[in-house]
Amino acid sequence: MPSVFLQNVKGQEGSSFLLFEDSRTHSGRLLLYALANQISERFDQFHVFTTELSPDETSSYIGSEVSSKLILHDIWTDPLGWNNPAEETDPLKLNPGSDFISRLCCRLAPSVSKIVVVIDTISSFLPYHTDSQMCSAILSLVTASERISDIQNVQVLGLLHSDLHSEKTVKALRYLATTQIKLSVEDPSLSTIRDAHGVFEILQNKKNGKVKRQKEVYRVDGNHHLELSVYDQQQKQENSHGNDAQPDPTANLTFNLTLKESERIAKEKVVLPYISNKDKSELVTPPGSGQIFYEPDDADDFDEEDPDDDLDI
Amino acid sequence: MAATMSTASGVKTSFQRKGKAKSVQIQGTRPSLHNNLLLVSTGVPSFDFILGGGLAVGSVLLIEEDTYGHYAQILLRYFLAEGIMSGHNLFLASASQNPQKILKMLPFPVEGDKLLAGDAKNDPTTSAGVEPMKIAWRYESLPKVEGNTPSHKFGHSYDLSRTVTPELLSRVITDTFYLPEEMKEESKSSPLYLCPTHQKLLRRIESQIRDGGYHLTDSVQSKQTPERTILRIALHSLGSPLWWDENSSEGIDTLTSLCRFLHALRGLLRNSLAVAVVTMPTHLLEVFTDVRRLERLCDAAVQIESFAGSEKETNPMYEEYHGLVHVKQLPRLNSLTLSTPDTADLGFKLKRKKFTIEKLHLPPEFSDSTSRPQEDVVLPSSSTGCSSIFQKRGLDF
Repeated sequence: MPSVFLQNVKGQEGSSFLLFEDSRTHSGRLLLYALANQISERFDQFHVFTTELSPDETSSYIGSEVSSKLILHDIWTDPLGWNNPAEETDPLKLNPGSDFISRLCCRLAPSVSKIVVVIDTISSFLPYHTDSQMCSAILSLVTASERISDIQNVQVLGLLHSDLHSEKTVKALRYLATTQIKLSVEDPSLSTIRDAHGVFEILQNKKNGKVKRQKEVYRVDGNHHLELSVYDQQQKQENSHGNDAQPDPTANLTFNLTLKESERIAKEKVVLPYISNKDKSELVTPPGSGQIFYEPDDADDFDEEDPDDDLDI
Repeated sequence: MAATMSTASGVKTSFQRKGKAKSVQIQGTRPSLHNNLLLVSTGVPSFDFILGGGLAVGSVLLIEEDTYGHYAQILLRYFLAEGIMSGHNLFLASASQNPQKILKMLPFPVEGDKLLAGDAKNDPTTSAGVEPMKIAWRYESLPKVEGNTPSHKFGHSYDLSRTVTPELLSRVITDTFYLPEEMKEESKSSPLYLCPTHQKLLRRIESQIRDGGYHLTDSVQSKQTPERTILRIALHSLGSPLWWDENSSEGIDTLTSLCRFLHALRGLLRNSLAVAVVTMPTHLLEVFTDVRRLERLCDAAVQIESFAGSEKETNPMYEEYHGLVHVKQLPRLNSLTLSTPDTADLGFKLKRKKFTIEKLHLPPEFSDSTSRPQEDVVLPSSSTGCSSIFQKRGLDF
């Protein structure tokens, strides 16, 4: 079974929004950047909005092959614009003039058609915005090709700490996502990959209405390369032993339905109770060989002749 | 003599069919069998049947979207495509996708080629078709019998693998509303009782109905427009996060605004030649009672549940279907009763040329194996009344 995750990297024609949902127990940042590195190999520019990590720390996640394409939007150093009071807008606040798309355009090189945008993290923006503002900011990024003529393909990868937000907010963002990646807390040690970093569930909503759901294990090595394998095969095998086995109706019975040949013969020999003694004696003679013994007495009017010619006396 | 004639004719014509005089002749419509309402087709005949023959003109249908919104959008596209085939004008609003794109993705009618060919034939040589019949002289004076052209049928079939051609699309007037573009020009209107997004949309629909001459009360005074048609209003994913507007309208929460919007829309449509289909991702609205409120504000409400990505996809009971249709509310117009379908268990399947909604039934058992696999699956882990508790998979008596 091929990895859905890798397919996502390979053949993605239209723009899309990948939502990474992680939690305190399992950070999704490693997976997010590993995938972003792979995608941006084929893309022209690689934008990162970083809010939780310093620029240096962020660039440690970026592979050497794509570091030349990297454009870092630093929101970590001065999130609320205190260092620069002259600036009218705060970096964390997405106003009509300074949302993702307009900040992107400021640093867009000419003749750039395919860009990767990483939002690390969406959670930092959410306290300052309503759900709808956040959604429309992301949507404007995904549909940038409609407004900016050069751009053809925008891949947006957003990280969300889903345990921090209300169900309503998370659902709203999921509604926008073409691919949802949920980092799970399951133990990856059962998988085929050695020293795996974790398990995630991927849910891909294709344009033709098909939805693919798969669990995969991932490992990121020192060169930011991603190693993946499908997770649930082992589990499936376990399940097939457990659930798929046909229920055996003869298993837990108080009587025996499966008789051996010797047992069957013994059973037939048993004389059951409540059969009258006469029947029991008859049982001795083999069936089908009945005989009539008749001794005529004097009163009998015995005729030598067989009137019907059929009695065979 | 004349007097007797007049009385005789008077006797003859004293019986008048009530319906015939009243009903408006608009193409692509037919009167309902139940209550003489004017109906239009949703584009899916089996869906029409469930709704009691079709959508009544002036009503609002709510389609509650499946989780990924795919099948609900297909139904919306069918609704619009049917408008093209019946010569109805279209209005499409969307927030997440450019409505122009959705219009381009409308399914191609199976009879579309014929229709286009008919157009091409009719335009240049209208006189060529009027060759008089030469069977006998007296037939010439007979009125010409119009062949039943396919465009006047009620409900058509569509090919989902093809999309409409621009020529077909240009047969009707289309207008679109793309929220991100509409919200660019900020115009603070005075007393807000709706969210700005809903306000804008409602204004737009209002002006569409007024300017297009779909309003019924207007037309009574001015009868210049002899050829009347229907406006099909399709609102895609209304109520999705993009239509929410929590911040800019103080004091009005989105849901209240949405309810007011639907109420206003329904009132607006009641006396106009328009029909609306609204799809809504109700799974994003948290509270169940909220959804009930929205359903009550529409004339009919139907929920689509897709199996894609859910556990039911692998359930053998549902293997023939792509999803379920839950009828939440049926239209109750001009009557005390409503037409109820035979069963509430409805499933839908999507083929290349057909979207059908049918009664849900078990697939026929062809295999000779004594076990019926679905019996195990339909009741997962629910221990019913007579099943024994201590043994899970034993034989139950």
